[in-house]
Amino acid sequence: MARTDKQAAPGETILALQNISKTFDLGRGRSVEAISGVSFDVKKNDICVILGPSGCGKSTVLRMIAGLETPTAGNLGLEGRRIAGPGRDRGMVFQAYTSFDWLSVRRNVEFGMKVNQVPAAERRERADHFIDLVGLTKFADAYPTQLSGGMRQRVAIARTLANDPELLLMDEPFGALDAETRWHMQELLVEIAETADTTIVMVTHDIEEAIFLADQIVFMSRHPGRVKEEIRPEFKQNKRIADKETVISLEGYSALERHIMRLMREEGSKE
Amino acid sequence: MADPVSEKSSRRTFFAIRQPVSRVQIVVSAIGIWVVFFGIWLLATETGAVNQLLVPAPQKVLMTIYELFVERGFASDVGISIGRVIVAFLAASLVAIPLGVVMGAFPAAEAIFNPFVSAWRYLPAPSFIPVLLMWFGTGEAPKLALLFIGVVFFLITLVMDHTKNVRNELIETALTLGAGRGTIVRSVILPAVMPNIVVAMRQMLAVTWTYLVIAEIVASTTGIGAMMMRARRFLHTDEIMAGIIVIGVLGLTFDLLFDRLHRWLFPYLQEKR
Repeated sequence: MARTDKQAAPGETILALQNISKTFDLGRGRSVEAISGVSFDVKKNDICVILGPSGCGKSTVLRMIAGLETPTAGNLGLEGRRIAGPGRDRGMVFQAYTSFDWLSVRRNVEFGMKVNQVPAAERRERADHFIDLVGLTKFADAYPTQLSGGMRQRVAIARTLANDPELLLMDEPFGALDAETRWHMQELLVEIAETADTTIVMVTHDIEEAIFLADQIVFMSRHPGRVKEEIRPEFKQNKRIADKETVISLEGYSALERHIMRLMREEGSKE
Repeated sequence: MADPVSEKSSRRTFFAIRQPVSRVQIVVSAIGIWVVFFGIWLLATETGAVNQLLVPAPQKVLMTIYELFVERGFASDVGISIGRVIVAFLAASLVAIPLGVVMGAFPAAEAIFNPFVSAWRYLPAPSFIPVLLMWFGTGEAPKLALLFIGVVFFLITLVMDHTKNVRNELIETALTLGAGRGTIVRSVILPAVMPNIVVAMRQMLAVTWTYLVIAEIVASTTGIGAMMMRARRFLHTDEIMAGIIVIGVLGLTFDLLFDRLHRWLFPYLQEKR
């Protein structure tokens, strides 16, 4: 399923948010501005992490990229095309488990391809490839209800990637997992980002997770949600390291962690 | 020192809060409660505490059930009753399931149909019997119509509510995988809600039996209910009780069949960990 419409080369801008605002109508003439003038670019094949305190609207930004919500003002562009509504080019992985429990793991992973009329043989081949990538080959014929939480999230990731989206969107995908599983999943995600030709935009409130995964961190402040700071973790020297201890022991890690903690604290004192 | 302590703690309290009981205990308890019930019944009739004409002895009722089936062709009445329940219930399901799913999936459809369905739900189905008799005469139609009216509106509402409870993330996931409306309703919402629909059907089938008896008592010459009304005229309380027991057994059997159906259709729900 080689797609010809993926134009941006690695390192070029694939996603552009320009001056995005979102106002929620509370009824009776009252409204609240959740997002105000958010602009940032995401480069192809990068992992972009949107980080911020709860209530900063980071999930709303992600949902607007997915097309599940519409901005009140501003422009969202993917490869220069305006985003209007959800589509297969932007696959989303949620914090809550979204496996289709009535389908086996393999048929879950095939779901998007089936919807998009990929021929059965190719579907099967791609499904097996991505099931293998997330390490679930032994469980390909199992039902999701037989799997642990971490495995279910791996099914969701494989299902999205197999559908060949231009963006893999993740909304706190490891938030419901226990600490050890989360850590394994983060390392797995780095490996996936290296192997699969994909750009990832992920939302989290976990500072450690953000620094470990991100090529680019977009830190958002709250009331209303704005971009407070864009950070590229230079200390990683543009390398992806799929080993958490190594990253944590790199020079510059703790300085960045301290810096982001300060940003968080400033937001906390706003209440 | 350790022995008496462990011995003491290994002695289980009979009424222990939230402690599971063994399979044997479940079976013994279930049989036990019925033995007590029939025991009291037997005692009351044998000692003459109750009038045998009004409350026949349990063994008399069991004998009557045997006679009804073997000598008096009661099986055909039972067959007619089962047939009515199945036909009316299937018809109600064929209307309620698609409509309920559509109403649960599309708020616009809910806005159209729900005001109508909710109003009908509050009209007692038996109140339609006189008019159903005038419209449809005395054939099968008025009975089936009563069962249908009694069940369909509740089933629509149950199916709609369960459909609304399908988690939004499932639908949004399908949207970001490129699925359209039709695919989402058919391939995500319907399979996700199906186990709950089968549970709702199981509940409403029990209600169908209730309406069946009403229909047959009021306006029928065939079926279990009609037999019971005939028996009343000749003071045959044993036959009335036999009818009640047969209906109970049938209801229980259908309930168990639905339970089996649920397990068979949704094997993935049994393997939850």
